[in-house]
Amino acid sequence: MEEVKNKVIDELSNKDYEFGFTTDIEMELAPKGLNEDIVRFISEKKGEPQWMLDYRLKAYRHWLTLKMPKWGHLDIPKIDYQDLSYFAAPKNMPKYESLDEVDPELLDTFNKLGIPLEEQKRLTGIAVDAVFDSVSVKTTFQETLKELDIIFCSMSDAIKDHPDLVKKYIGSVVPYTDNYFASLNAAVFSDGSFCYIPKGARCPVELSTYFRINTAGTGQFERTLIIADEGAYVSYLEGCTAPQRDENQLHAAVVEIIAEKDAEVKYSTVQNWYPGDKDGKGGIYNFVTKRAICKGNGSKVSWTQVETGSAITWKYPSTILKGDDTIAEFYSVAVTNNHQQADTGSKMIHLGKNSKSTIVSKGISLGKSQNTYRGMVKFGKNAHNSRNHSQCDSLLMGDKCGAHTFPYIKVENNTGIVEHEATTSKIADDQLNYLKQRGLGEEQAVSLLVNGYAKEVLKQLPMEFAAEATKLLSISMEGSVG
Amino acid sequence: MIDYYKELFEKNKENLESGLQLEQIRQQGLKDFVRMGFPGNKMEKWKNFSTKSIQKNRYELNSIEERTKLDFFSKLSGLESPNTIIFNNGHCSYDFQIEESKNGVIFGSIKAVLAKYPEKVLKYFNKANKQNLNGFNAMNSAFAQDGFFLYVPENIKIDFPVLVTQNYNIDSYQLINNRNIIVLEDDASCEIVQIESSEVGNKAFANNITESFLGQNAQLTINKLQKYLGNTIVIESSFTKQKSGSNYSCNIATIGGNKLRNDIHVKLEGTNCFANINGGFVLDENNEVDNNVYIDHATPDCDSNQNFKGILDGKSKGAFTGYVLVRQDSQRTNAYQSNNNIVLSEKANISTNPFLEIYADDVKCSHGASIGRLDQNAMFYLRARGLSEEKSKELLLSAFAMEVFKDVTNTKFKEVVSKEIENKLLKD
Repeated sequence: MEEVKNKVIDELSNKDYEFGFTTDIEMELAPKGLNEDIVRFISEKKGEPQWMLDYRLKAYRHWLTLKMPKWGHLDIPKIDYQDLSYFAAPKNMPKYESLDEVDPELLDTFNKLGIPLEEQKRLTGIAVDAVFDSVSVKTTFQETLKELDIIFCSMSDAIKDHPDLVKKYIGSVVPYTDNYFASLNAAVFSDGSFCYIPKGARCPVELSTYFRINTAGTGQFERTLIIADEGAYVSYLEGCTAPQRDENQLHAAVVEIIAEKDAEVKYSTVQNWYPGDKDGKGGIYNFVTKRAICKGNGSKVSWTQVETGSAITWKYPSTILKGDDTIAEFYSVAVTNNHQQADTGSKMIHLGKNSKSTIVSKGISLGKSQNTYRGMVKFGKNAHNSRNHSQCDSLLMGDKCGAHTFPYIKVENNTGIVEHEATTSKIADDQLNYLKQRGLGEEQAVSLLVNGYAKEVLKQLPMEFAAEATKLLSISMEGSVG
Repeated sequence: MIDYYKELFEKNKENLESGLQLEQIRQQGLKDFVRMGFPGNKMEKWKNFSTKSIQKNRYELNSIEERTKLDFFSKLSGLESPNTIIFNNGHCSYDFQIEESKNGVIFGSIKAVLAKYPEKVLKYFNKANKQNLNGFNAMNSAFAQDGFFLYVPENIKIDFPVLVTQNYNIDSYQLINNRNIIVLEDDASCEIVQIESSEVGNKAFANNITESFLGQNAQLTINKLQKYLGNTIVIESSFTKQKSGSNYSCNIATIGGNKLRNDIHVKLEGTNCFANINGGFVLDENNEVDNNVYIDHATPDCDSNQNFKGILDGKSKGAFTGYVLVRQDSQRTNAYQSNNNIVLSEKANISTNPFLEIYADDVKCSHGASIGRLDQNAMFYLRARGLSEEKSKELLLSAFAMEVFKDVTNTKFKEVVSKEIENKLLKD
């Protein structure tokens, strides 16, 4: 049995990265290095108004005063911020009227990624904003959204076309002073998605963004802002891939979500950045700040993430439950293999009365990877009758990997109830035995158990994504099952 | 402030050495203390315990040796033991210094034992607290004055629980650094009951370290009752090393405490060890208690268990940090961690951090934590059967807290603890 298991693990460890191609498109790169001129260069390139530039400069000056944090359970090689290019855009990128005008090579890239850019995908009902390196390429489905006054566009368009909204909300959940990477992002963010759902609107389609880092030696810094006004509903999806490269690339995005009274936002992400090769060479550093605020009473935010990529993942999608009767959820599956490292989890900050939150985190470690869950649940003084349930399980496959759990629970109110459970184990022999007795092969049994283990999270994903995520998991976990 | 302690050390060097001759250990301790200083709130392990109130006072070295009043024993009804050692303000009582049995057991004040058998003490001194982990540990190494020493030779089982009492009652800012060493050779077995207390007017700061060494198949049980009144500040660190097949059980009942920190470090160095760390704390007013348990599974086939329960009232602050480290080759480890708390008042607050760090795959590790209030259904059940609200509450809460001591075999200790908890709850 050990042999078969080892075989499974070996095959998983040797599994190649499917999205590792690069696309040859002429790029316009900012000179390497970071200083105020670069910040001005980016702002100018994007034709931004003065207030945006001021914001960036403020953030940059603040960033200079900060030091890279070290508290993660991560081994991060030194990053030379002066050796990165902070802006890379496909050259000659006028706004396209229809898909025919888009560079065929670019379209080809998106086809390879399986991104439903084409009109035919109208059937699947997904509006896509694809961000290629740093610039938003094409947003589909605009007309349907327009009818409902829903704004879904790239961040740069939003800054030009809806400055009031951007001004009001940008940095309101993740201020530029928040942390090292949020500060860096505020200074040099290149693009991202902007989404505004007006009062009472229910977004009829899933909004989706695909991010891809293509050019070598660039960092990608997107900024996503999702605002659901009173009573609005939106489901937002995000996917990420990157080509195979020897050197590490930095990805430091910021996502801000605002849910006003009775609004609901569902945010799902399948993160599959290039994780580096078997020996831990290359791969993306994914240092992302994601935070939502349930601002109004009765609002709801739900995070779902499937993390399979990146050499180092360092992110904690968090929710501030400010309003009364608010609900927040966090569902996560994180798979680490080879030399990958992940330090991820969630923060739930309860401030309003009757606020409820759920955390379900499933970690799977293989190879020589380190997988850490780190989370915080905090009940403020006025969070009467609040409730939290957290469940974080870790599965270990192989004796060289590590699985760690660091939950922080802080309660300042006597009417709240917090429960936290966690387990760490390998696949139980008796379960394997049970399945084998019923005629399943060893590998099938392992894969069935792993899928069952992650099911609770996968079922939270929208249909479209669930298919992709299951495929991704099966690539990672069931590669050898046949 | 660090300079102040440097001066204090120089001033009292001879005095300290005349009591406990440690030479190099003291120098190293001072060096480490100067290097590390007082741990600050920004340090991960000290987030829940502010050292500001310690830093703002200039503590003098405690030199008053006061005789123990015998009425102290009246508080210990039922726990009296033929093997008793009494500490008053950190100094061993005059009447009891060292006791040697025919079977080789040595028990007495570390001062007396060091003077008579220096090699026996120095063989173990600072061997479990190897690196002076933090400023306070280093401070203890530099300023250690007294403590108790217990040596149990191979195959010896001490029949009666050994009783160690510690009482603080000084109305000025004084520093107490006790160092206790417990050595159990292979197959030895012993139970220690520790009663720690302080009086209302006490201002002393106690910074104690206990080092325990368990030989193969040795069994050590420590049952501890902490009942501190007044402004007492106490940091109790314990370091335990276990050889294969040994069994360590530590049960701590904490009844209040102005500012108290328990640091429990256990290193499982042999196979088939078992460490069982339990604690119950009942806090009110401005009590502040921070429990930290670090269990290092350095070898395969070991089990560990942590179970802490807290009841918080008034403006009290409670914290639990449990840490289980399973090293890469420590296969077939079972580790269990549990922390449940009941918060009774609006102003009380609690932090719980049950951490697991695991590098081996064939393990079963789990933790559970909960924070909540009294079960209203259970209350209703009892009220419906004619119990008063106060009595029902007391019954439920003491049952809740006493659950962690269910494995304690010393029924007398259990009775005392149960009574103390009851008194504390009824007082509220």
